[in-house]
Amino acid sequence: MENYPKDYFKLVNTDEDRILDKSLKTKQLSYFQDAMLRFGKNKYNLIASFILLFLIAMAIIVPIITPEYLYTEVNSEISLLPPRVPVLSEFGIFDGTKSFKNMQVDETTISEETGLGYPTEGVNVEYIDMNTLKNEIQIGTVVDPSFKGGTNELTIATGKYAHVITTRDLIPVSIGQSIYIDVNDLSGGKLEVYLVKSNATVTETRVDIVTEESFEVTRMLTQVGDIDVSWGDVRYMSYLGSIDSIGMNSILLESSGYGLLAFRYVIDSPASGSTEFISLNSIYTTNGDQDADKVKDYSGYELSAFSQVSLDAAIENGNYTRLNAERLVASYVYDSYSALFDDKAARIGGVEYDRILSENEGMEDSIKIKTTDDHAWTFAEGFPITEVLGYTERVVTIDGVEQVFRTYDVMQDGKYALGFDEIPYFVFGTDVGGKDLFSLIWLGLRTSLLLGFLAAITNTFFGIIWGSISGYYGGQTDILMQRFTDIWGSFPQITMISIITVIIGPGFLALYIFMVYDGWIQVAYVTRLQFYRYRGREYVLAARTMGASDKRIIFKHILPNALGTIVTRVILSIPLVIFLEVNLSYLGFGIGNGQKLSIGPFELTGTSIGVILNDGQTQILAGNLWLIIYPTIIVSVLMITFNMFGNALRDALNPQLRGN
Amino acid sequence: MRSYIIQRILWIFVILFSTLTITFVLLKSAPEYPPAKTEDKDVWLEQQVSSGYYLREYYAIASEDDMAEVARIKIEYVDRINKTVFIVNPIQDSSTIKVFYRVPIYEQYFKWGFNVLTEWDWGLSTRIRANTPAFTIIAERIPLTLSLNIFILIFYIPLGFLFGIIAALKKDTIVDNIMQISIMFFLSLPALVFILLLIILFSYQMDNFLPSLFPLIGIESNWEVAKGFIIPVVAAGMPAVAGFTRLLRAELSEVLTSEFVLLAKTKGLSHQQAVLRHAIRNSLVPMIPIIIGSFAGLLSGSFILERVYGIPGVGLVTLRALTKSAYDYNVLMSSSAFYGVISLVTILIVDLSYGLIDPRIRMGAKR
Repeated sequence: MENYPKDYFKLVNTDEDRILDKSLKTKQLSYFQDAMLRFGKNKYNLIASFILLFLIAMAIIVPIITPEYLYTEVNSEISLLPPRVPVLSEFGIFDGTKSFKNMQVDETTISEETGLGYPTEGVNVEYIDMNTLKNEIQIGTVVDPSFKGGTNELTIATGKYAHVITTRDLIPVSIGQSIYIDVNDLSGGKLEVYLVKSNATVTETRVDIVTEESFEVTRMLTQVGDIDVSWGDVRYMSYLGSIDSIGMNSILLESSGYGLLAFRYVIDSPASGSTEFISLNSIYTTNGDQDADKVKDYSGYELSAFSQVSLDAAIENGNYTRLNAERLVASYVYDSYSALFDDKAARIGGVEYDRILSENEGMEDSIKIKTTDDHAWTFAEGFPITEVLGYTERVVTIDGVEQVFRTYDVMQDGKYALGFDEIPYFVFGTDVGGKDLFSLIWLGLRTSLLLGFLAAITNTFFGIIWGSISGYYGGQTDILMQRFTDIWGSFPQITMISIITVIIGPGFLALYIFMVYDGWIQVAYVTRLQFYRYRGREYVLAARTMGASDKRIIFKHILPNALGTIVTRVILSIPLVIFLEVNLSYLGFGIGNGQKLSIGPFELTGTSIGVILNDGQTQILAGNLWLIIYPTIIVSVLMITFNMFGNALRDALNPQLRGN
Repeated sequence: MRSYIIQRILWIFVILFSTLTITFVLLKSAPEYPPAKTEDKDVWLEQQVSSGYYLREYYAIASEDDMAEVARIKIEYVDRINKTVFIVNPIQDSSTIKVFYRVPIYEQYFKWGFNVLTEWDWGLSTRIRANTPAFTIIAERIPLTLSLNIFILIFYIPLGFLFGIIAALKKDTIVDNIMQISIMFFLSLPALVFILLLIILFSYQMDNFLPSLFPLIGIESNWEVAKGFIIPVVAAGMPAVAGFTRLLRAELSEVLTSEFVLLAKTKGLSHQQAVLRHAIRNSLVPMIPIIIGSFAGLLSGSFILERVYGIPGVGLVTLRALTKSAYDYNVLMSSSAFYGVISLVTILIVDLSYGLIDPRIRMGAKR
């Protein structure tokens, strides 16, 4: 080829300006800035993200600014208070009133005008809102004196022939008396009446579990010495008669005696499963006819308190239940806060009184003696004692010196006694231990979020390393690593939690290990997938051709592209971690109430929403529903907003997935 | 194909085996918790000796040498007493003291493997029900747990199909938007929280319309037991419905853009007919494996439901075996085996079902 001389070429562009590309009019956006723009476009996601940020902020701030005693100390005085919110309580919403249902009515309180009664036990009558007081009849089957009336039913068990009930005390009967048995209903068979002679009985003293009073019960013996007692044995039994029809039946007594009255319901063929029964209204004895004065009267509670007996287990067995018994119960709205922080009567000694006076400045000066009684006076507001109702004096001579000892009857300021300056506002109420639910929830949230973030960070770290190596190198390394991951991940979760609990014991560390032991697998999977997508690209090939090391290619070229998907996946995994954490803490594997959580030099008091829910579940039947409802709302909102945030992030970072 | 199945089944055994091995070794590194009462403890330890896990030595109380020996043992093994060495004074025979030594872990392991494989002896329970075979305890409760999960399956599949199809048919309308919101809601709500809400709503507020705890099977009538199933099934089923609806909607929307649907419509089928007759079958391909796979997920989810609602199933007994300081290792191992087998078999069936449902996968597997 000839060499062309230089003059063959003529410069065309003689202008001073060099030809340049047109400068970009718009700003240059990085990948993430672009994604953020897309993120902001969707209003719902923005709202969700703000709510999420608000929740996180509350979780951090509230535990710091609340005085610790409100959520760590157990104060059973202020337990189970309903929510009371500062401004709204004026309007009657969340004003610290609790509705009570099915409270047993004290019969003596039934007023004549309204016909309504209310309970007096453990309740301060002043604070019952009488406008909301309602009475109703509760029907039950409990053998308790508070339930009145009802019928009592004897049923025979499957395959058996009879069942027996007896009175609990020895009863004298005499000739000429009649036993009247009012039968409500029966399916067949007959009711035999026996007098169990006192030589076949034994009297025992028992203690009532509830009232701790002892009472005596006379019991029929099934064996006297070596002899088995049987119904036909006249040494121990005397047969008085039998009845078999519905309605009022009577048995005329032809001899006298002293013993237990036994009623034996017997049928001819074996029972076929709770269809054979006799239902009794009442049993009583009189000296004359049906309407004469009753000597012994058993109905309602007394009838239901009869003992059940079986002489021969092969043929006698069954059930004795009370049905349709009624109890008067009341439902009302009760101002718990005012009742709790009301002034309480107390009696204090002179030394204590003087001490209180000396400790509180201005208290003595504010004494206003009552006009009606100069042994009683009131103090001003804000002192431990609001008034003195009176005092008694005793004069004692010690060593020849007369000394006066006074005892004062006072009204103590309820608020002061419980440690508050004024009636407190518990925004979410208090739990069983008297701890403020509001602080507890944010505390629990803080623990969950902390766990979520720590687990996410750890999983990301290990997952990316594993996934990038596995995805980048491919081939045999990849297959081996995948196999390992398969085996590692197929370890059942429940087994894992068992092992962790047994070896380490429940707590934050146990939860953390549980979240992390297979959490990295998801991240590794996603990373590996992304690496497979991007490692075949030309720019990777170009970089490798130019001599870039593997490490540089991974971290500078492929990983930044993969990061978007990975980050979304990690963020979406946090709600799952919180979900698991709530479940595990509920089961008892997490942090308990008031336990301290130490991370390095920091010691944080912790609890968990799962624990709160666990404690709250026992309170559902008692009607203290706020203990479940508020944690539920907060957790749900957190999860929903987190998921929305994660979804929005995913849509923003991967616009091609939009619409899917 | 057949060799693939056999290979996978062998793989299941390998995984199960290694899981149980790891569990065994780790559990044995913690102290042993034999039954609490002395007689039960004695019986249990004797059983352990005959199973080959413990060695036993007798010492007579009357003999002074023996007592000195026992005292010496107490000092020498002071860190292992009541962890792996037990000194028992049996009630029946109060003239002797028995000392039980635990055999080294590898020996225990071989004995255990031998017992399980040849006699299906998973050991005796220590705390749940002293001295009953651990596997019996699990086996008694398997029917209840499985039936609960099957009910959940029966509940969520038809509903999931229904809502998924509706959502796909009415895509981008109000109905679809409402569904999206409800799906998001139900997916985010933890099942635990949901079941508590249901209990409050249907049990407390409506005066025990539905029971607040699972009724006892032997005592209550069948109708009561059936009512007792409603709350847990709904609580676990709704999130499953939500997840399934979301997937079906996505899948069906994609299939609806295919050409054969267009062909069906040009042939005169209405939109609904085209969807119901043609599109659904094609969208089933990824759905069936998901349904089968969800069974294993439901199983671990029902774990917590059993605890909240008091259902006496395998999950609840596993949790009781995990009460602090009263661990029952044999029951734990048995229930781990149960859950492990179910999830691994489920994964196998899922894998096989891919081949069964989509002939393209079957054909295209070998390249």
